[in-house]
Amino acid sequence: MEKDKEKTYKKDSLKGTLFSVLAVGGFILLSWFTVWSLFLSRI
Amino acid sequence: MIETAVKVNKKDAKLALAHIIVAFIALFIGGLCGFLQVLVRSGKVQLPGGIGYYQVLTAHGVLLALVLTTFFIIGFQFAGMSRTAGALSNKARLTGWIGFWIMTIGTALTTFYILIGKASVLYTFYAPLQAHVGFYIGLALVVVGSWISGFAMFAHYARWKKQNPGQVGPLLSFMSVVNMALWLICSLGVAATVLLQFIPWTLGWTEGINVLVSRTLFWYFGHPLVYFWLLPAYMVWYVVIPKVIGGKIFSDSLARMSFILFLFFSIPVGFHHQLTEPGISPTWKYIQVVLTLMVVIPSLMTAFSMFATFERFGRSKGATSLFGWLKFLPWNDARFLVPFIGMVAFIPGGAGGLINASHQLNQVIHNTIWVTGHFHLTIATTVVLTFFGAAYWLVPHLTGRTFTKQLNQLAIVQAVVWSVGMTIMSGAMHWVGLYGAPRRSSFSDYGGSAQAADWIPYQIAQAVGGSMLFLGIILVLYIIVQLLWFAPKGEEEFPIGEAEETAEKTPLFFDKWWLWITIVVVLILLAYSIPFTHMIQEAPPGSPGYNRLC
Amino acid sequence: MHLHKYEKIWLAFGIGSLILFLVIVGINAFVTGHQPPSSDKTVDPQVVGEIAPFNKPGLKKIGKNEYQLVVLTSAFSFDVGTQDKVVEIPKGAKVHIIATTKDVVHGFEIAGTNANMMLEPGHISETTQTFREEGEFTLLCNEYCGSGHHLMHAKIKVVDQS
Repeated sequence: MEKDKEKTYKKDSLKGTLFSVLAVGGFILLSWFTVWSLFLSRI
Repeated sequence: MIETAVKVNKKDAKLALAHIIVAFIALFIGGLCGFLQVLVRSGKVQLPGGIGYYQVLTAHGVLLALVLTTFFIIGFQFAGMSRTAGALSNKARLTGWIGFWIMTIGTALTTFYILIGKASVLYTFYAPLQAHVGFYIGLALVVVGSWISGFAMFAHYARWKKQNPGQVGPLLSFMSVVNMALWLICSLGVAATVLLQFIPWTLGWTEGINVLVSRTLFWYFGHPLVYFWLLPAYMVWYVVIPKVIGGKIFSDSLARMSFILFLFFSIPVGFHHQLTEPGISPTWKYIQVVLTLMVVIPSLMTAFSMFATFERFGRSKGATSLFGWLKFLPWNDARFLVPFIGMVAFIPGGAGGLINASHQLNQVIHNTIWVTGHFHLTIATTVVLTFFGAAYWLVPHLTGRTFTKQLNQLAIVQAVVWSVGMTIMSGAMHWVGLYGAPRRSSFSDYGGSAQAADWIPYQIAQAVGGSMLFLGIILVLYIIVQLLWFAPKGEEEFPIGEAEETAEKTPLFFDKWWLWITIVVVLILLAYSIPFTHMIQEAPPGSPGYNRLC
Repeated sequence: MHLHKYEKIWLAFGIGSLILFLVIVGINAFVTGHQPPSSDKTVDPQVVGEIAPFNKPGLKKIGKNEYQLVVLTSAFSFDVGTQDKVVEIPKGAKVHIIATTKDVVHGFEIAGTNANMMLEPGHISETTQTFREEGEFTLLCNEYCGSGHHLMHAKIKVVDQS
């Protein structure tokens, strides 16, 4: 039952890649804005 | 398909090995220095026998950032070019040996003056601190030697092109040529400041030195330098890793494209190391900040290509879920795992780099130990672990030995020790840097400052992480020594990936070298000519040398 | 050259983020006026100690809760105008810092604030910092300047005078 629910991806799918790079991008945004807010708090 | 040698020519192997051996000797001495530094900075240890903290720090920077990297890179690229574009001609090989000896003599000279305490100026050697002239002459020899080797590589590539008209150059050779072109163009800056400013000034031929000009020439070189380190790691990722895992190169054209973008945008960006300096207009700083963020784009492309290579491979093995392809990767193969950890480290490394280069945001972290934490992720993890991972097949390939199962297990242990040690050390550096703890400083309580007292626990954490890293160095040296002289004889593959069969043909225009060089020169002139002229025209009186301070 | 659809999405997202960063720091710099320290003034480093304002380092009131802090550095000390190298600044004061060096390159960093700049012989460095919180801040040299580099420091005491 669990297996059926799980979506399957074709051989040439790059969905995993897309989600991986977007996670990387999210991490970059998060770090940048954290230090940016530190800068603003110290102005 | 173009036929290439499966094995590196024996004579070329010797040349590559000579470089790699010097690189690992530098790793040992430089790593030992780093170990001493973290101990001193913890506040619990003092150096014996009049050894200076800054003397050790200079040796650490020069031997690891300049010697280890340059020697390994040139050795790796000679091997890679011999493997993909055929054996070097006798002339090119001889040129390579001349380059090697000039670099080695230069390294020995510079190291000698650091060790006798006459050159504790750190690897950036900022004027008007003044070292013994031998320090600068040695550095100049290292750079000139690397140029000579670069010309040998250019000639080798040109010869291949001549013998294979109408074909695109082999990917690994193409990438090596891009990297040496980048290196040649950027190291003109450091050569200019050393030969035209530092040496005449140290010898007393000129009275004063223009400090801002010397720093600008240094950083014109200093930032592309980090790409000169990074690109060989990218070569391993793009060309070697797909073959190691059993997959294909995601796209040959995109790989070339990203390298050309690196060539364009890694040079006109040196001001992002000078963001808090007087004498440079903030508008010109901002222009170079914009160019700096452009150089992120090829790395974004690389991130996509890597994940895509992994996903395609996993799916070809039957992975069906969103991230199911991950489990098909060869996690117990050090040739994959060690560079893979390097890739992961580049995520926080790259994010930190963006923060550092973001104009006024630089004020938060400038010259704090955050920066040291940053480049210990990028160079000392991403690049260095990739080099270690490459050495595990390259060295035995060149010596005719094999990377045994036991050595593979040890290499995995090494990478784990490195990762844990670096997470502790670099993490502590990043965190305490945000509170203002400075880099490049011996232990100090800053006059009983409460702020400085809060930094000490982090400095102890750095010593713990740094000690683990030194253990990691001992492990990797043990493995390399085994691979050089003791591992069982046999054949070790030099893995070279191939593009997917369905991939489009790589267009020929990537070999338009004169066009690329022209664009690079135009970008450099755009970014530098006006502010640089200003520095010379509006210069304050030159500075005398200060050689007793250090 | 062909780009995969997802790669286009990724590059659009990535390049969009880079542009966002540039716009944010650009507005903050060029509109709000928070440029990194980039003073264009020069001075002869050999005689800077005799030239105003560096002949009298220290804190001077120049307006309502507005001050100028003149600092002259040399290896390995910060001259902030007081014997004990402590500067008392009223809470909430806006301080225009002007500093330079007599000899080698030094760093000027007030830990825990945005006051962080390079000092180079012959060049004057300037920055502005508002001290909103009470407490002691360490002024230290964050660029290597020789064997006593880590011993180079002073103290900023932000005091509530109301």
